[in-house]
Amino acid sequence: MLKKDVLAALCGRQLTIDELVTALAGGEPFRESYDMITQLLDTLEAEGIVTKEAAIQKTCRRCGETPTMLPGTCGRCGKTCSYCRGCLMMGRITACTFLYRASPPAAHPAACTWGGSLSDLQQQGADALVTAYRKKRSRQLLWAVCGAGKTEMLFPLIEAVLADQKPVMIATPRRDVVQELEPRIRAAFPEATTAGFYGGKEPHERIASFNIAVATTHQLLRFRDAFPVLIIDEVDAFPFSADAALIRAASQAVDQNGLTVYVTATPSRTLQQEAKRGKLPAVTVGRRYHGADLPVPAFHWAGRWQKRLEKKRLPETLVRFLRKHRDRQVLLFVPETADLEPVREAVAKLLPGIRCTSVYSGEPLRAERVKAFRNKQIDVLVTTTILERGITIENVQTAVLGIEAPIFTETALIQIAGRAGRSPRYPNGDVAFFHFGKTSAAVRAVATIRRLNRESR
Amino acid sequence: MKLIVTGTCLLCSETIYPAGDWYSLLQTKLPSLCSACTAKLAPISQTSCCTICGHPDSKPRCAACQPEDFMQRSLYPYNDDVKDVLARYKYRGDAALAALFQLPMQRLLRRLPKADAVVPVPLHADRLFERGFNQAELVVRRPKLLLARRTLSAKQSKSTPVEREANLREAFHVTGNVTGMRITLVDDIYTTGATMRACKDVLMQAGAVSVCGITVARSLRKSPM
Ligand SMILES: [Zn+2]
Ligand SMILES: [Zn+2]
Ligand SMILES: [Zn+2]
Ligand SMILES: [Zn+2]
Repeated sequence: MLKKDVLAALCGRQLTIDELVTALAGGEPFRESYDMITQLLDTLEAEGIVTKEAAIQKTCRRCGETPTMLPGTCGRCGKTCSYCRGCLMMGRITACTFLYRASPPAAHPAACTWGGSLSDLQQQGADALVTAYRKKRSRQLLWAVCGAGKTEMLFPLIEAVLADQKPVMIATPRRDVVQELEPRIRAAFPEATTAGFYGGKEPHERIASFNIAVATTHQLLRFRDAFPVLIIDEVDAFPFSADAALIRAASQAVDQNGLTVYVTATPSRTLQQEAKRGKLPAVTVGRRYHGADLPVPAFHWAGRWQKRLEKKRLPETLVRFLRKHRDRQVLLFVPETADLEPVREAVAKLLPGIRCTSVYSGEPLRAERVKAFRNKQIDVLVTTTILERGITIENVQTAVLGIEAPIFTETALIQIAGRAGRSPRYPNGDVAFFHFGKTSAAVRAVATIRRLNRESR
Repeated sequence: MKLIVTGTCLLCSETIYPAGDWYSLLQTKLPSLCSACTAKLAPISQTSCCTICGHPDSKPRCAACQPEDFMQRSLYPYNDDVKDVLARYKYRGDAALAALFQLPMQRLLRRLPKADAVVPVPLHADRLFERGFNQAELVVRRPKLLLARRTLSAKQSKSTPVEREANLREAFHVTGNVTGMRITLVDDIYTTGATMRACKDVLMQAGAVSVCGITVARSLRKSPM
């Protein structure tokens, strides 16, 4: 029984003894389970089913970080020891522990039962991914604009991998994207075992079995040579943290000869250049699934808007924009948390009767307020860039106040513009950039949107 | 050549730059915390706390504290920020964070009667094995391991407070000669003080002449007195 559980947990993973004990002990004292599982692992290793490796050699074998000396003597081995601070959040690794591994699980072929149909462009994107897999490429870029329907484009690839009885991983930097994606994948592949992995799950959930895994990129550290195909969704979501740890985790989780698919609406400069030079096979889906153009942002002069804001006033151009759309919902982006309240107050003062609220990452009522906006109980939602992606609301108009702030990168602005005009019923949203001086990032964002519209015609 | 020595914050990994004045620039050792994290760890004022239990803003003594009660001092109030840091230290096992507490704990020690030995509250061997280190042992320099813990204290919910205290006393035993010694106990968190009182009883029985305590953090009373 325990043997079966340990093997199931280790399939395609690399786990420490502590992870196995906390996931499988079920209330038993730690020490007893530890001894029992260690003994079992030794047997499995002798049988050649499980392999083990010292968790820290020169560097941490899980995350690659340089280890830190443990003050005093180690309570485990009783000697001078070291531990890794780099992946501490995944459970502590010390030099006297091992990473245990076993071969990846066999998956069952499972058909995609999604009832919709792909547009011609989506089909091209989907086909390119399946081709990349069949041709055993190591990397592939899917550049799909906001609203292109990228999740559906992944279905044929997932189906092809499952048909070969292999598991698939979809990883994304953000937990909320995992939570949104997991049920959609499960619904599309009802016969497959789909499991979601992100921080904060219970120990036994961390070792759940999977044919299709949906996980935050951090969780990739727990997998080893497990997937012939690793799909990284929103690869650019943390623009400044294209960190070495993520690259390492991804390359460890994917099979040695596996395929890594990068999916993004806003590829980084590096990815774009690699694609241009032919180093990275790329397919672009430059049109939304409903076929209409991406809304092109319009620039509006906002003058010294911060000065006006101190007097609880907004730029005339913004007031006009809000009046024009008084019967529609507006997402209004501002550069900083400190701008939220003054802008909200000014909107409330200048446009009485408009229901207006604000959100930022630290807002305790964030989820409730976004939900109220979705339910059309709020007319204007003032937000920081935290809502730049992932939020899809029918017929929403978007405005950015103060695009000259460095936080509004080309990527952020394209994502923000991508919130508008998502539904086939209202494919033409208004996107307005209010500025005190255009930035090259903003000019590039508009040029990119125009080019995608032109090239996909 | 690198003119300015920078460091990394032990808690948030933020880069630390020396302050702009000449004195700071000439220091070769930087603080281990950035200014934001330093602000989160605001120590208890030792000049206005209770002289018995160390509760902040209770000088000279809380209403409930008696002069003969167990005397102890704490570094920080056990608020949400301190709770996060201690959870990372103790449960995540980020032992390097002990370095944050050593110097201030040493200063705290000097506020109490002189000690012949600084003795950490021990962990049970199984717990020590599981956690990998004793969190109370690392926060002071030169700890003397003069106490040991017998069994993991069993479920105590049904027993009376008196029985519980007796059980707790049973759990500890002295492992060295403490005759005639003045001892200061060390622990990470002070809540009711039951653990430290149990250790004190055991040490006094073994011949210690006085026992007091220092802790990294202490819980606060619900309502101000
Ligand atoms: Zn590590
Ligand atoms: Zn060790
Ligand atoms: Zn810090
Ligand atoms: Zn007191």
